[in-house]
Amino acid sequence: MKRYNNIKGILFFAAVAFLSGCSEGFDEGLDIEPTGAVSETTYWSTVEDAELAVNAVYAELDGTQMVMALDGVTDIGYHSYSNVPTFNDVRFGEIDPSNGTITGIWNRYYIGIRKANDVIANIDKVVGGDQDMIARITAEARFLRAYYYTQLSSLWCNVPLITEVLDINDQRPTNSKEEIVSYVIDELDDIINSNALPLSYSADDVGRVTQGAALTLKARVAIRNSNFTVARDAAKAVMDLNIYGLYPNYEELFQVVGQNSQEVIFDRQFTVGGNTYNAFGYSAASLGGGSGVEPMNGLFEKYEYTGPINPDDPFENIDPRWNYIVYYTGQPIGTDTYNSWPTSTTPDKTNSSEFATVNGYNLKKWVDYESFAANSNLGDINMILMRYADVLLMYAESKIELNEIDTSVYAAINAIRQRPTVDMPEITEGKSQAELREIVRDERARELAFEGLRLFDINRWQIGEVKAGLVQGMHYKNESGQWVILDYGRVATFNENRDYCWPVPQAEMDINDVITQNQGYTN
Amino acid sequence: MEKSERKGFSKPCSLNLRLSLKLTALLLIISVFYVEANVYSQKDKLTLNLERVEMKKVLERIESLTDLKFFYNNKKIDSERLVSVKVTEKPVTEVLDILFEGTAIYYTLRKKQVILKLNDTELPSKSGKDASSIKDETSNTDLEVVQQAISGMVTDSNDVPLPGANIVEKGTINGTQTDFDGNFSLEVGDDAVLVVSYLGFMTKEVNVDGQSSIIISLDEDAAGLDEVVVVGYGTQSRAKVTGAISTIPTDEITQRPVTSTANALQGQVPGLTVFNSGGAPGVEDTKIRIRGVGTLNNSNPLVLVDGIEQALGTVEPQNIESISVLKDAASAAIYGSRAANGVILVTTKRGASTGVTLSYNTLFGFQQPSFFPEKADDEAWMRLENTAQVNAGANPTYSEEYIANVLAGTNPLQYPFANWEEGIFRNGALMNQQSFSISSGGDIGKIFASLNYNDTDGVIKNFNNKRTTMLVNADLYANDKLTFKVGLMYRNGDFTGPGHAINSSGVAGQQIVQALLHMNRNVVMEYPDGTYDLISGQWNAAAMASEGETVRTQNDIVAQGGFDYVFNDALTLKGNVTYKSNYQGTSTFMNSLAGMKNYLTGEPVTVSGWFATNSLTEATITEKELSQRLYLDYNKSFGSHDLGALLGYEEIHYNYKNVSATRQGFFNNDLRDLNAGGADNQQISGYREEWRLRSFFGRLNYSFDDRYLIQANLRIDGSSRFGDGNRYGFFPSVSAGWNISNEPFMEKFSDGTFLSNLKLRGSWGQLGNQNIGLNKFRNTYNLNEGYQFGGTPVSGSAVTQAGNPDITWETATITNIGLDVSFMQDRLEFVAEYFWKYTDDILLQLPISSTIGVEAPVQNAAAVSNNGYELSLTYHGAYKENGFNYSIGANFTDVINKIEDLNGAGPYFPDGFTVWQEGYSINTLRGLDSPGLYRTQADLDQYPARLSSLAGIGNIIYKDVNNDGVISQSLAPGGDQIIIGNEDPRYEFGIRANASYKGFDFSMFWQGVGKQYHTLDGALVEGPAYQNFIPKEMTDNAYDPVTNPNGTWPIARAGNNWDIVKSSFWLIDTKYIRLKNFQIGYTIDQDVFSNFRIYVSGENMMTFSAQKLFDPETPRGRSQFFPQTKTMSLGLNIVF
Repeated sequence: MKRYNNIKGILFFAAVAFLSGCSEGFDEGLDIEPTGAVSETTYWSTVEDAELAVNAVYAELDGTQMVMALDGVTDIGYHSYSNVPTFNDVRFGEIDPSNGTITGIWNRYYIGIRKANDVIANIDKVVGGDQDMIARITAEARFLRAYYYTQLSSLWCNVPLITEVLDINDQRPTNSKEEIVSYVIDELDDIINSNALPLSYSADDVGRVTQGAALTLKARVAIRNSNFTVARDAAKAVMDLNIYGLYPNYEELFQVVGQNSQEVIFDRQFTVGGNTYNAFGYSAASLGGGSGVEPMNGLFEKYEYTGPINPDDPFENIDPRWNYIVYYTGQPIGTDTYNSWPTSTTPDKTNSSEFATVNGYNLKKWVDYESFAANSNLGDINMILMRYADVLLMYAESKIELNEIDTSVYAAINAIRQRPTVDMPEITEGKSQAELREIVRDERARELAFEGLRLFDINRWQIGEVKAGLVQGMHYKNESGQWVILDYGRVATFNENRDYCWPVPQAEMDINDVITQNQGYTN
Repeated sequence: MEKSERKGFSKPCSLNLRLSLKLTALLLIISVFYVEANVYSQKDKLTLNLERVEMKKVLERIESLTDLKFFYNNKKIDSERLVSVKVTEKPVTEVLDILFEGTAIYYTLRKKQVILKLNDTELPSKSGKDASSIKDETSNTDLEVVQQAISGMVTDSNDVPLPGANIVEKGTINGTQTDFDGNFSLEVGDDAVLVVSYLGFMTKEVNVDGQSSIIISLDEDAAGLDEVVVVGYGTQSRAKVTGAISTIPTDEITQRPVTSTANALQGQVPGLTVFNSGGAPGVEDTKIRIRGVGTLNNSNPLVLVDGIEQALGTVEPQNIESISVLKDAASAAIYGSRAANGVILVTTKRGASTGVTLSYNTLFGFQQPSFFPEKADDEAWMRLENTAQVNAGANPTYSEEYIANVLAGTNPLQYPFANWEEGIFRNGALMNQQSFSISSGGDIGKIFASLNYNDTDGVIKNFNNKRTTMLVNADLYANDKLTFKVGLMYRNGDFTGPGHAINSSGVAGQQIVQALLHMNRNVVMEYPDGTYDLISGQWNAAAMASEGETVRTQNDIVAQGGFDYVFNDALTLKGNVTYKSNYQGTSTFMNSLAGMKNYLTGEPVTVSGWFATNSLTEATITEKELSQRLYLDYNKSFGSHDLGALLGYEEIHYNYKNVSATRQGFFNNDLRDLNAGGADNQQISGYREEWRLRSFFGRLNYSFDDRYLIQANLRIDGSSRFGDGNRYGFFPSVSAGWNISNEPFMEKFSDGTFLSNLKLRGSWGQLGNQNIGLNKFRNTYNLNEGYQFGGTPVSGSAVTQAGNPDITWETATITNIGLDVSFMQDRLEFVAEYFWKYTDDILLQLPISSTIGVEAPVQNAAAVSNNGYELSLTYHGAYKENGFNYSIGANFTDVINKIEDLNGAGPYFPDGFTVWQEGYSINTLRGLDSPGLYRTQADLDQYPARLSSLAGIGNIIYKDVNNDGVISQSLAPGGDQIIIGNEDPRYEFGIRANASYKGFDFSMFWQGVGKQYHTLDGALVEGPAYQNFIPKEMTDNAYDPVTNPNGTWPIARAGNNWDIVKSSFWLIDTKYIRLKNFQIGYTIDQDVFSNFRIYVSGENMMTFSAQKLFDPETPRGRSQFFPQTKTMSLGLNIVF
């Protein structure tokens, strides 16, 4: 029986060995820990964990879309068409709760808020470490959360205010815009008074939140909500820090050399090796761009002439900022000359391809041809979110609205007009409040075009109808030799009872039983 | 950062490692033991104490204690004579001497056989060591008493010899094969029964009955009812199958000039759908679906090649022995958690039992793009573009002078009109395949070895793929009971193409075809000095098809070591350890064209995007999979009762690693090492994946009298993809069959002339799908949420997707009813199946409130059903020797797909064209509802709402479905989109016909879809709106108030973006029938080789489609696909 005994013995041995295995039995080896991510049970033990977590909150800051392209929904711009609802629909007053672009923006702000809440909720778990550092990280997270709420309340008005880490089945109702704004101002006051944020950082940390940024955000949220006293004081506090100033070269301020200059208070940072974007993506086809956003006649009309108007050249003697912001026919572009007229043989000819401008102009602000011609896919100019010129104009506007018109108001406006590369004539004293109101509003449009601020200005001034009507593009000379303004007969609409607030995204309305849609939108 | 120290300590021991060690040890012990046994048996010392027992009992006892086997003639030797033996520790020979002392019996030892003979003449004085009684094993004279040499021939019913037929002595492993003339010779016992089998013929048993020469004639077995079907972990006779299993005639695959096995499967099996996205060589672009799309997730069937999960593309068609498609739960349940989408079992060839067969196949082919969108002729093209500009109020793009020059071909640099097709397509792209194989077998084992080489040019210039595959399958007999099985497959693939050959999603040729379809043509494609015009600084189809270089190298190894241990006729233990290693390295080098000067003006050209700087991306993927399985197989007949059982264990441990590195700014376009690139813009990324699956499975079959069949399966799978408590899933199935034609009451019908087989089958079972990402059951901090400060990138981490600890398998429940009927000795065969497939607990990212700020977790939420039927019919004409012989076969299938449940949520929009909504197919299309074009003022009045204020006569009408006065592109009632159809293929069919006459053979295979729709996106309909590609359909049909008032396509207008949105207007009927393959061969009658056949073959040579715009097999989208190819080839098959 030797042979079978042996086989049976082996099988028995094998069976026992298989079944006994390790003490964990059948589950052993089936619990495989991730190797590219950290399980939540082991996170939050050191200051470094907290620093990594707060870095991730910055990653949701507004970038090219909200800085370069957002003006495409206003009177001064146009956003290109796409098969899915985008800013193009918003531009024409056809805002739909299912609009994918605005849904994406909403989602991104709430992702940022979640990340910030996660830092604020968990940083107490960190044992030991540099307490100043922990205070700074907490303040950074709170500032970023306040920034996201500022944007949410400015775009959607009423949104859920969430200040803790939610469980996946939680649903929260809408809070009023007033509640959000007052929460943001309280938070910013706390942050400012705690002095946890430095005035500036060493080179490796440039781009983190500073005390100046907190004050500027406070001025911004206040002025957006017509709280001019708070806005004036916060803006003045920034001016009194005496660390910011206007950068002399307007064009270069939005190019590589102007980055992190004394005019920049807070920006969305980019760098090769980290986040980058297609440097010319929103710009002209001949640069390899897709004409994602285009300046329109509405912007052209804001600019003043510094000399006589040439009937055969509408761009002669115009405010130089127009030339820094816009590609129009005849301007050098890359190694060529921009030509978008219907007679053009260049890729920039209007509507000649999906990439070409539709209305004739292309965006020149933020384009740094020399720096990125070699590799436009690695665009990394920081997107400025807050700069000193805005602070000066907010200061002037608050004082005008408070009717505290004094030389400091003129000084603030003229500093901007007389920046060395702009050199526009100064505004002379003796203007009425109404005159000054118009001046400062137009100055904001001229100075801050395509920096993602025009929409908020239109909304707070309640002048939404400026973008309604025939949508007009470039000036060009037609076959009969006459200067005409390009249009396709397309008319934009504005519904003042609805369009000052974006709709809560349809996806959120579908899932959230306790949220309320903004006025005027149907589901 | 010391994160790694805190990610949780690893387990102190790994069961997996232990298991492989154990299994290896087991294998070693068994083999070592047997080596020893062989040594011992000859002179083993036996202890026996038997009183007055029959002699045969003694012999049996000796057989059980040693591995000796006794052979004797019962008629001559009285084995029932009572004997007594009492020995202690005596060698076998001594025991036998004692046993036979005083009898006329003497014995011969031949290896392990002991042959007993009767000495008729005289009683030997002494047996045993006496030289006269122990015969030398090489002497045959004495063996003839019990072992006789028989020779003979095997023929078909028309006396045509059958080479390679198998002859086995029943109940033994003793056997041989016929030679090329159908002859064989074999030594057998004189009572032996020969079992003679040959593929395509009915197996026959023949009594030797003392004959020394025998001619055995086999009857053709048209239906192959005795065919053996490969099932999970084993084989089954077709008659005993109770599930829905289709097999594919392998000559349908091996004889076609296809480079991919997946493509060859199309249309061959009802219920199996193959979607082809493109014809790029070496880039697998096919999707396979069995019985519809069963889930919202990964719907790929499980493809097992010799039991190991592999891509179908890795198998050379010439190496395939058989393919089984397991379609219902009863057949697939043995694969449990991976089988919800069906299983395809591929078995590669193994060696012949005896003899040597060498074969060589070669093939040369020429390929062309098949059914690529036909462009308008140049003049019509330019005039339509002009019309479009004029209609938009602009100047014509092309002057009359320009048009005249283009048409005359004069001064092409001044009046360019780029013919992008010519710039990128290659007509008559070559392919060649060489394959050589040897199949051999003998006493010690058998072996199959093959070498395949395949060199295919793409129909887009500069695309090429070379593939070499080596396969060795060896079976080594350690002894009668133990066979070692070794398999080694090595495959090398070398793909080369331009820098734009493969996009980031792995799709070949996409950007090049995109350039062809989207770029204006009034530019110079290539100047005489090799420079180009670039549109938007980077677009030029010809430049993209020639600049830069993509090199993809694949090295795949599958090494298998296993054993079969046969305990006895009924019980076999099988084990196997397999190591699979796949490597894929892709180098993509993009040339820089910066500094290029215009040929005419000498001015620098604006270069941007991918041509602005040179860059190199090196991406490597390595996959490792170690798996092992061990199972016991039991099969036994008790009279009319057949019982089968299977019990097994399997474990799979998979590792994946992906590393990618990019540098830019290389010294020049020729230095293509990463080290030659600039370090400043470098990017590196990588990740790993690991999973493990541990399974236990069992099967029971029982059949009574070949009439009533029943089978049950159970698989228990444990998967690392799920959390504690949810790791193990149970997948049961049961099935039953009734062979009605075997019933006594059917005898009068089933005498063979009319009804030859009638079987009813039914099955029910559950399968799983574990194909979701890893770590979905826990919250993890994603470390890729970085940012940058002051120009320095910093790391960042956050929870970006919520985990769901409760997730578990998707479960598919399939019920199947099948009917097999055949008539006229199986010459007419009919198979019908009806099935209900319900997939539940589908893993879906059910939306959560966006204000929570994390991506929604995966939840078991949705349910999808697929109900349908499959029919197949085959007819073989009666065989006529050297006459006209033929067979035809057809299959047909239809499946209706429906989302049954989305947990009350939805609709979801998986992409811009489709919608997931309860009650509708997964592939439901949405779009605006259009009754046609505005042709009259009445139309304008009837449909006042427009997408654009510029829309008017000649533009597409959209219905204002929700009556809100505006046309909005979201689903009604919020917007005006409706469900316009779905893109599920319906009424799929394949038709095959074979015929032969004397040396000629002919075959053709048609495949088609009876109902299918597709929506057009951009590209083909944009045309002059953006100076895009203009198809001939457009110039023929564009509405024009003067020249073509009945035009069915919208009026041409530059900048028109309101006619190109998704709508029912652009829903295209894409039903088609295509001649997938035809072949004409001639077998030359000669004496040098045993077979010599030449043939011509055509692939995709004819297509009939309801539309002429694009290849009906391409998926929805912008038609930016590597074109399908049609191939003419010339081939040669030689068997030595």
